[in-house]
Amino acid sequence: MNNKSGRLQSAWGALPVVVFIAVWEIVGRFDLFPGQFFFPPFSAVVKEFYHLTANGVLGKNFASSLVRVLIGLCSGSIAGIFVGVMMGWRSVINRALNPIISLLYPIPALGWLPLLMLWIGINEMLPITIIFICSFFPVVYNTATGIRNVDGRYVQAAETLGASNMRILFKVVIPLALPNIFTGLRLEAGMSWRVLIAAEMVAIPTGIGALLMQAESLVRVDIIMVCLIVLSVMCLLFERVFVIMERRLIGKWSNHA
Amino acid sequence: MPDIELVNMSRHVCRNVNLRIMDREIFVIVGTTGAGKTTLLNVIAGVADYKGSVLIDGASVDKVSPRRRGVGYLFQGLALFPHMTVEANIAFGLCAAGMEKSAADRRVASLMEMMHIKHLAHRYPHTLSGGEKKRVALARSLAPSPQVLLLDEPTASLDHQTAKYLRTELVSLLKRLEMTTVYVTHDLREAEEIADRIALMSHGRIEQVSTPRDFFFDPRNEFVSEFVGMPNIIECTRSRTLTSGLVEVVSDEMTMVLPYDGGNIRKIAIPPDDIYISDVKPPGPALNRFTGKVVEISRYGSNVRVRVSIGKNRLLAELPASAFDELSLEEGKDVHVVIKLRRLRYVES
Amino acid sequence: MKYLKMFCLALTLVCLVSFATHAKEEFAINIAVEFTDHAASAYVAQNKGWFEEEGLKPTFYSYVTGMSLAAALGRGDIQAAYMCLLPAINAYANAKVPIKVVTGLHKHGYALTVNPDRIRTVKELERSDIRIGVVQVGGPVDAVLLKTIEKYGLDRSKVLHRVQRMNPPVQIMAIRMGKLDGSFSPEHWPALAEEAGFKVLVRSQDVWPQMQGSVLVVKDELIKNHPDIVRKLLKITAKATGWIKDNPGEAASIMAEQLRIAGDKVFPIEAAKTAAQLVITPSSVGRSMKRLDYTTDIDPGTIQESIDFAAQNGYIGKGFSAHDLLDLRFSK
Repeated sequence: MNNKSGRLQSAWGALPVVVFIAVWEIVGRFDLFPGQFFFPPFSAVVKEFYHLTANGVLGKNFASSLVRVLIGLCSGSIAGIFVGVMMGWRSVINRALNPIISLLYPIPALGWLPLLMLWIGINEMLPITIIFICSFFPVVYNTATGIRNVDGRYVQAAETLGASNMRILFKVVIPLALPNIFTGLRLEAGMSWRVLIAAEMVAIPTGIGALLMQAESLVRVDIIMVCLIVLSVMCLLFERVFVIMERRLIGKWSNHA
Repeated sequence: MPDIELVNMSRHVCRNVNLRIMDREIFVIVGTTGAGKTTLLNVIAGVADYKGSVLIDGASVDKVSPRRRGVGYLFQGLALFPHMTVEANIAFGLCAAGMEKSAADRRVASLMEMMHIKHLAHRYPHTLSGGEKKRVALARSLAPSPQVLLLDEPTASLDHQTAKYLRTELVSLLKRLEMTTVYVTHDLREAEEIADRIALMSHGRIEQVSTPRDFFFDPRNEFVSEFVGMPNIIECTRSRTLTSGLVEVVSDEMTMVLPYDGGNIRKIAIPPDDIYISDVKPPGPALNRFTGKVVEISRYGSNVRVRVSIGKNRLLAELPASAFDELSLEEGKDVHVVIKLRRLRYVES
Repeated sequence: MKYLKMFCLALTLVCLVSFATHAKEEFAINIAVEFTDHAASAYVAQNKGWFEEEGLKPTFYSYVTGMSLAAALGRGDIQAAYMCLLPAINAYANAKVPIKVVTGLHKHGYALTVNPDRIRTVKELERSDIRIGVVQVGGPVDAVLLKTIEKYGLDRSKVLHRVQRMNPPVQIMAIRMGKLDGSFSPEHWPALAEEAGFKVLVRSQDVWPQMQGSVLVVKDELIKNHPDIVRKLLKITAKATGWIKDNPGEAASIMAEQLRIAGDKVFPIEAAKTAAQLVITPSSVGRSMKRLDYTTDIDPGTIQESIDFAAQNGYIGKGFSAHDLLDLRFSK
């Protein structure tokens, strides 16, 4: 009974997607509104997806984008967690860094683009740096908040049980702050792809963003749609990875902390 | 085991508190909410800043961090680490001390056995009942073999039965371990049951420190007297054993039969709410029943206090105002009195 | 009699008003023009009021990218466009935009400018430390780059590895910042690069002798419903093209002024930045215009060559006949 209802639920969830694709296909095939030329049917997009995969163009560009995201996201997250832990754990560090972080945090990652183009130039470091910035600030904030929000009683309990400051930090405070940290990571996992695409659209020779620009220049809407689908899937996938990591690491207790 | 001394300690509501807790005694601090009971525990544990001095075994620990004071602390909220299993919670202090794993595992196993929580080893705190959590927290605080144990309302938010059961086990354990224990509660009856000595706190001040008996028979001031319920102290002129477990005591015109298996009783303390008054003769056997005269009636909050004279004895009875209003009693009128002691408090010859 | 005179007077007045109204009846048309001196004929005609003389009321629009221009044509936001040939081929073949090329505007007009301290020969484009700015794939500038690689026997992958895709104004900024060593761009941008110290190394004439530059493109709809308007557009364009050849100095002055005005609208921020450093002077525009061959002559063979080139290099899926895209009835 559970299996049947589970399958039924999955089918119900997939129905809107199927309807959406069906409508897309129908609208794309028939001349229903002006400028229709710029709305290829779903099947044309799938065909182009296959074509781009078979000739290696999509794979090559995707690999470039993936490497940039992984480097930027990992380095930004690790740096963010490190600084966030420092700021949350020691109020003197928080007082020193908070004004700077507060000033820089509201600047959208893409707002840095013109400056970075001048300082870094147009090379691999440009998109990686943008993604680093996009990941770093939110992770710092969420981590510092998570650390500060850990109930002081847990720290007191650990102290009376003889734990050193480092043990308290690594065995008690950071684990209890993980739900907040994962919130930051999950949000930035998808955002990093969106930011990457925009950064790659500025003169970077490879990557999904570069492919998108080429497609625009060639008036290839089908290729643009392939790029957007890849972007959407990667955003979802990356967010999902963090959800699964979160569930594995802290799922047993995080709802009850 | 060490003794504990607080010298001119001040923090928050507590001002210049001086207190001495003997080694191996179960010292209970009672008081209303906000009296400063938990503050005292925090100061002894070293998890709060304070002015003044704390000495453990005669040595000042003011500059000693909580992790080195050798104090086990059962927090009121328990503070069980939600991300660790029961086993890991209990082992935390042992790992912090650098104990070898196999030794730590053995100690954890023996503590879980002692607290009857072995079956909970791999569970997380949020899956435990209130009573189970308390046992785990207690096991955790005992694991590093502290010399002093601080317990902050350990039976709070438990139902009556579970609280009673836990309290009994706790007292037995504390007596066995012979630890210097400071136990905080707001329930005087609980304090009576387990304490070697009781300290009554109010607004950060120690009102009285004495044995449980002395609280009833020798309250230092009106506050203490009110807190213990203003018991009626009856001097017994004669006491004789009727049969095993029953004794008859006489005090002027009052002859009472009490459940007691011991020597001669010289004084008994009768709480006002153990005295029942009626304008008509109540049914039942004439045991511990008297006729008296109403001397004084006064309203006290939602209760009514009625002073009744029975011979030379003047007893204070207290009953809810709604119950009093159903009686037609007034000063000078005769009244029927029944004494139903829920707990015998006495002083022997 | 009195009434007869009054009647005649009234009739005359009605006729005059009708005539005046008819005479003032203008055809409103939206036209896209490139933000370069490729569209000089359009800018000159606008400056001289020749559109209005023919009863046309044009509104000019400039588009930054080929797709936005193709989309505007597709939606019907614009009815005609002065645009480069290759983007027109892409829009027709890839997006099936219903357009026709009705006349040419010029031949050539694309060049490679280089920092003479960093690049002296075409072969040096292969160097690993070289950075070359090029407009996006699929356009005439990219075509000139590929032709250059072919003609000079360069290593395609090495050169393409040095390429950074960016629009001409961004290339000029990058040149000023020292971030580029070479720049492939459409005129008049090479002239601005020269102002920044670069030198022309390769012109489209050097690698593609009969390269068609820009063309006048109109929507099928306009041809079908208003062939007279198309005829007028051609007439205006031919007149302006002839005038440019006869009056190069004045044409350069007009272009310089028009590009400054148009630049503010198209790239307000970027143009302001560029303008702060490089002034679009008549002399720089004049130098640029000399590198174009302004002519309305158009050869189907050359168009076919461009279509085949586009197909071979993946700009379009497959080739087609130039006659499908051309409609030269009105230019005869």
